[in-house]
Amino acid sequence: MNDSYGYTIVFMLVLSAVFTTVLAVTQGAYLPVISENERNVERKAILKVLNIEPGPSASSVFEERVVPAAVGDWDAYLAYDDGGHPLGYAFPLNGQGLWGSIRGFIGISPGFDRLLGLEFVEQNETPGLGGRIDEAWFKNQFQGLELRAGEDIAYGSGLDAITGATSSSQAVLSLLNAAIAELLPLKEVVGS
Amino acid sequence: MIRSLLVRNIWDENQVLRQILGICSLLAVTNLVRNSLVMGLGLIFAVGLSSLTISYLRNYIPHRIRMIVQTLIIAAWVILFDLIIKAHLPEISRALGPYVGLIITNCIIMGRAEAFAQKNPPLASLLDGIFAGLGYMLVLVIIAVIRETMGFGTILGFNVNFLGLETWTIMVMPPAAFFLIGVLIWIVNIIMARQAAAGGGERG
Repeated sequence: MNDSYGYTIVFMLVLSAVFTTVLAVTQGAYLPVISENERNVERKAILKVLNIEPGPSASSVFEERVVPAAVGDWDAYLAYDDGGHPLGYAFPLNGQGLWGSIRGFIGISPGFDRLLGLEFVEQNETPGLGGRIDEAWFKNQFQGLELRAGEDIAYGSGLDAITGATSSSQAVLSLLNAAIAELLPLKEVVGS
Repeated sequence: MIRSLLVRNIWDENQVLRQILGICSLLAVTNLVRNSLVMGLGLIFAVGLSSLTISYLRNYIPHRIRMIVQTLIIAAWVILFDLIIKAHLPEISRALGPYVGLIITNCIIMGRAEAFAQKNPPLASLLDGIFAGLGYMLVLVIIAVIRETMGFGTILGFNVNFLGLETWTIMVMPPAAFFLIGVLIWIVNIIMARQAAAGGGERG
């Protein structure tokens, strides 16, 4: 075994170059697939918060039913039903959870008076505890909640936090309330 | 040779129960059986291929920097594994989240690299790595079955709480894994002591 400095440095450089190349090439090859997967996760979340069944091909349903719509400063999405009537808006939901960032979407009715749904695209809460914010029973509780200006949503009757995951439950709620507080005044913008 | 490698890695020198390695990830993922299975599979993949690569290169790696080299190789395989499941199994990748990257820091991989792959031929190292990963996965699943049953009343997400008993929140939290792994190590120690006393070290 050769232990000279020259050999050590050359060995490390060659090895790093080989592995970096392999990883870079693999990542480059997979990049389109991975970003398409990520876009699909977002499309599915947007369809779900608007209560549209994504079906086997979320991207084609998405193309058919949803259009991007700027509401105030928000990059929102607007969905229509078969008759061309608006079903609702999907707004991005971003912020801090207990352990990391939470990204998702909320659906709001065309009249900005009801919550249509809540979905997460990314969350890093403890699996089995805070991670349960991504379970259907928890998210479904938010469907159909009435929105009133100046009135925060709170846990209590009809809306349960997760046992053993109080902080994550609260984090979701404060994200939601912050977004709604900003969104409700935009009702006028949409109406016009 | 295969048999002795298997027995040694799963029982005599089980990475978790005898060497007390890989405990951090055990505490984190064992509250659900599914996460434990995927974590185990990821580790088997990573430790097997890392050991194989390190064994191939073992005569060229300068002694002084061998640990850096091992870490580099381990990290490369784990990133590759992460990319593959991100592209082909996006659902599982999402469920595992940050755990996959954490495989890099699993002491078992470096333990096998230092203790075995550095001195043994490639095929034996590959098998040693796979069996070590298997021994780890086995312990993970045992703990996970207990924790998921008592903490959620489910196994692999299916309800097994037929009597409607109250579930234990503590079982979902990391400390439960500490208690359970302690008890498991205790039991295995008793069995091993008995074996040694009875057979006079039959396995040598």
